[in-house]
Amino acid sequence: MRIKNNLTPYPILSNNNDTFLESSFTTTITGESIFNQFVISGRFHLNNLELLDLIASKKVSYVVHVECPSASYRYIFEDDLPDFSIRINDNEIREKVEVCTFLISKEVIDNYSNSKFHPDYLGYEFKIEPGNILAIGSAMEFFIKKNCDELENLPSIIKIFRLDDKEKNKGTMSVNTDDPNKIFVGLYADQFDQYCQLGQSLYKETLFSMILLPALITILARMKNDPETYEDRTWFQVIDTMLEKNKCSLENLTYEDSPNSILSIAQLIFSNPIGNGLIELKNVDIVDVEEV
Amino acid sequence: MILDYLISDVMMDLKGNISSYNRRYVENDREWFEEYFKKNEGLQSSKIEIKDFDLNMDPDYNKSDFENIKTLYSAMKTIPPSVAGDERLWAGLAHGKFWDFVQYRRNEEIRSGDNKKILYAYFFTHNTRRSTYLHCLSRLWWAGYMTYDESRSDPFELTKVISDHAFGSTLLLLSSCNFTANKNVFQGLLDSLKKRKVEGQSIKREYIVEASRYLMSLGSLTILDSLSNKRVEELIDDYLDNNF
Repeated sequence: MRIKNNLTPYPILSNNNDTFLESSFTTTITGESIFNQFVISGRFHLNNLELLDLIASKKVSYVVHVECPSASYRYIFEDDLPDFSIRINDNEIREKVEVCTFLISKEVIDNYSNSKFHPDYLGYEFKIEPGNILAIGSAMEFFIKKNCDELENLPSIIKIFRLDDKEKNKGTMSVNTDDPNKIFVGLYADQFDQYCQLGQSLYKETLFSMILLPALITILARMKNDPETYEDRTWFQVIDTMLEKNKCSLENLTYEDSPNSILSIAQLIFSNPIGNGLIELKNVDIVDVEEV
Repeated sequence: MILDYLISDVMMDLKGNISSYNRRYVENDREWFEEYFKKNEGLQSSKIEIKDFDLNMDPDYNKSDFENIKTLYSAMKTIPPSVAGDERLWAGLAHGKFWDFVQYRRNEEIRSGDNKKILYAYFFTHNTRRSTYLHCLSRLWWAGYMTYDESRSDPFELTKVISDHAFGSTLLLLSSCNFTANKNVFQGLLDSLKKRKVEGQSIKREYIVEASRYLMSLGSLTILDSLSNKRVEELIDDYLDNNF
């Protein structure tokens, strides 16, 4: 979004004009890719008591405007608190993200005035409409680097194989982490056949959450509990590097509910398979269900 | 079906050396391209799998465009916008599964033998946003994405507004302003234009131009993205009522 230095019918607080005295509005903005999300965080710094009062009375709000022209992504995030942390799935954006910040009115303000208006405006009152900009803060651009190519069908470090029925002692499914390169997830014959049949159809995401998600949870737990045993294996290094790149580490993983819980991190690594599986099931029409 | 995409090296070769390949496109020499892709592994399987579908190739584009948006978007709506903005995907489909469709929909441009027009038929030739609304396959997805609304009794109600006449130019005009990237604004604008549209004719160009100009002037003071779809519709209704 391009901010132009236009003349406006009422004073807008901005670093690029002098329509306000002894006032300021700036924003610290950071952006980083964490797993499959782009996180925009920051804080608004507003120095003007009357505008702060309007925010406290919910007539005005802080706004972060996020735009990614290449993916036709254009949304605002509105709040009355000065700190923000916005998470955007990285499959909604590509190439470049532009972030602009504002104060906007949430309702009609009939007699908008401010004791810090430039003397030229002192004593004037203005009618403000919902959505009108009252202050323009800082802006930033971020170039998005994706962790993986969204089209390339890269070989996975996890492979699913048919488990012989003689191996029933291994439980309902097995997660074999002995191989130096790949992790082998074993399914018994009948389940494996169903997996192959359904995996070719429209149930990829659902199967991801049913089979690969619990497998990855098991793998992360083993990595955390016994890193010395596995750390020289290729698959361990791949997952460990992925955790590090995304500012997470094996030591920080928890078993309790938290953003760093093993379940949360496994969900992030696979880009929300539970959510995607549910969407997939919702989108499967009756004909498909009957065909299966 | 698994969607194929064109690998970057091969795409660069085809685009960069278009004069050498021009004849193959003009002569609709699909077999030559199949051989070429086999030799250099130019078409690769992506990790995206969708239900198979075919596109309508009615000689009357006003009939096929709407049907094709519905068909393609329904089949491909699970792909995310970041993938739908990837030239490799659409160039891959244009050179593979939908070769015949591109030859049909861009017949005039391809037969002209003009390098620029051939590139325009098969590849992205402008910035990503503009290209996605120009390419004859990707624009079907993006038109569906911007107009599809599950909350309506007919989710493709707004799709029909832009596609039953002069779809290409209407879509391009509507997408020329950055603020139409916001679905509320785009759909509010269409809800207003819908009332002025005569069945079987495109929306009058001057309505779109004037409504866009009005939104642009509002946007210098107002964050349009904060307005509801309904509010955008009301604002444009008032403006067009007062000016036409």
